[in-house]
Amino acid sequence: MTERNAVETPAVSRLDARSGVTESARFLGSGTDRIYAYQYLPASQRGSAVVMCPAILGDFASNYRREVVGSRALAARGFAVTRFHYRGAGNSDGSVSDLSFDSMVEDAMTAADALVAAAGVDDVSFLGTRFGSLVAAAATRARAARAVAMWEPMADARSYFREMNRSRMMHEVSGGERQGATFDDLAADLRANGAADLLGYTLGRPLFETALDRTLLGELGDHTADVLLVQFNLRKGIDKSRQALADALRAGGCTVDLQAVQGVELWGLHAEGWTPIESRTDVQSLLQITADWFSRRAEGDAA
Amino acid sequence: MNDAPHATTQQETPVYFESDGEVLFGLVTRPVGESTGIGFLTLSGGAVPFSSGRNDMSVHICRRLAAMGHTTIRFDYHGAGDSTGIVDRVELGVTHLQDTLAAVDVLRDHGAKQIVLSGACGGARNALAAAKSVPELHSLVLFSLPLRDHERAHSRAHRRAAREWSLWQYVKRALRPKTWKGFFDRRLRRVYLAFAKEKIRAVRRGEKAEASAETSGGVTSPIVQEDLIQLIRRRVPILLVYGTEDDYYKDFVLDQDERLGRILERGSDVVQVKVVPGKVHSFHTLALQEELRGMIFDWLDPAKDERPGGEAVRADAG
Repeated sequence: MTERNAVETPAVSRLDARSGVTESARFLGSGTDRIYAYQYLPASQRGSAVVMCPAILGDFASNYRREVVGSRALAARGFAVTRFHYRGAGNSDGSVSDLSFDSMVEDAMTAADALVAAAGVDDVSFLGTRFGSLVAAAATRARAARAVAMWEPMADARSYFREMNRSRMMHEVSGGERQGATFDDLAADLRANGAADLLGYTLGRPLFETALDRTLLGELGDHTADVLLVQFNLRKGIDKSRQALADALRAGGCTVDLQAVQGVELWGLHAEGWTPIESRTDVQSLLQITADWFSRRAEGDAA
Repeated sequence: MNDAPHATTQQETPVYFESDGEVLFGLVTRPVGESTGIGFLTLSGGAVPFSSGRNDMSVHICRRLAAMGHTTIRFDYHGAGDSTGIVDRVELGVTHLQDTLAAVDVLRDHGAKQIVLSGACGGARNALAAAKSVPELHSLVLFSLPLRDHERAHSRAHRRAAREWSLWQYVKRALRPKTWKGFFDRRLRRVYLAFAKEKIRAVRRGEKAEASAETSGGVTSPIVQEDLIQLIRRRVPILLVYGTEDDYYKDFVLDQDERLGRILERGSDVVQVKVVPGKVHSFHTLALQEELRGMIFDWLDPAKDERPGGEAVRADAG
């Protein structure tokens, strides 16, 4: 999509009788370059909308249901919500060679436009998960949005790629396959082959190169917003790095609410045993914090 | 996605459909050109239980098969992905059986005359369980099929054997001609080694074998055995794929001397077994994903006729 284009094909919709929320799935855009989007429209709206910017690679899968139940929870509180898949990922068109940081931000903007058109609201906020937080930050600035929430955000893309590569190294070494490849090896692999294998997930060179030097602070730039940072971890308390991120955002003029959710699962890793996402206390806590934060903001605006 | 022709979202329609009081979400991909009449259903396993699959593998498979003229569906079980509901406990081949059959109905509604059921891990058990209720079955493609029922499935085969087999049982198995033959196969040697190492550890720890009913009749669930027998009687082609590092492969090897081995031997003209290095169960490398996708494409490519008994099940056979 060279220009932002919220042209929609007919959607398939259903009304959830319990919540009164209408859910619909659709493709945005035209031709063979379309974005898969999923919208949640409550019967009684607050006049605010939330665009969820998903995680990528392994996080995309492990966080998927959390984003679905999170969207439903927000819609049940009166917010119009949309989730979408970046072009080159999931059910959208394209391949990893089409996926870049810029295209991801463009997709978030397209999803926002479509939601505004469907819900008839102007007040749009973003919610980013993991790597999606960087996209949400960029979209927040581009749209001059007043609020952005982030689940387990990455302060910068380089750290994210390093972390993913470390997981790969540990897996390879523990499996006795070979000595784990370093971060420089990863970069060289991407230059040589155009893509790299991160534990069965394809990282494409365009994304790596366009995102590598992005930071959360840089993407927000001089734009000030209300920011919710939710750290989701096994330990109690706030990590120093997250505290530093919150402090830096405050220094830039943002209002920051930093919260921690003590969970049973780290992103991308599976704990022993299994409990449905909806029944997990850590997820319930995460959704409560998020929905309360967006609700307080909306009520503040209304007052 | 590689350079081979594939469908795009232009051929895809999101669908909602009901199953046991819940609303399931799926995506149907229509054939790009003329339809072969074959409908392909991909069933996810427990590790990545949503319709795109690990690294969007299901998306790639559905779009490529649509380019070959097949109608496909990928969908979310109840309690997963974009579907409604909640699942507290998963019982292999039971919990998602109604969902699977409801998705088959969607394929029928979209014009499929013959149905291919394909799944990985728990998805493979769903495919196998659903097969008996699908009269127009074309074939099954099953990746890393768990042979035991759920409660037993997650205990590693070699650890379980170390706990349950006496030293004498190990020696007896090691002396079988089939085992000796297996020593010439590098992949099987690794499996045997894992079994031996675990037993040595158990002996060093002074653990004694606990008798188990499984040791006499094999470890494969009677339900799986019966389902396979029925399919072989119906002459339904089955592709079984395991990775050498799959725990379920260890079970598979273990039961070659048991009833499962005899069932597969009787059905050797319709059952094809492929074993690849690594772990098929989690599709954990891109190379492996490509290889497994290729197996499906070859299986459903009329020109290649990969299926055993393939002549009898062609879409145009009537």
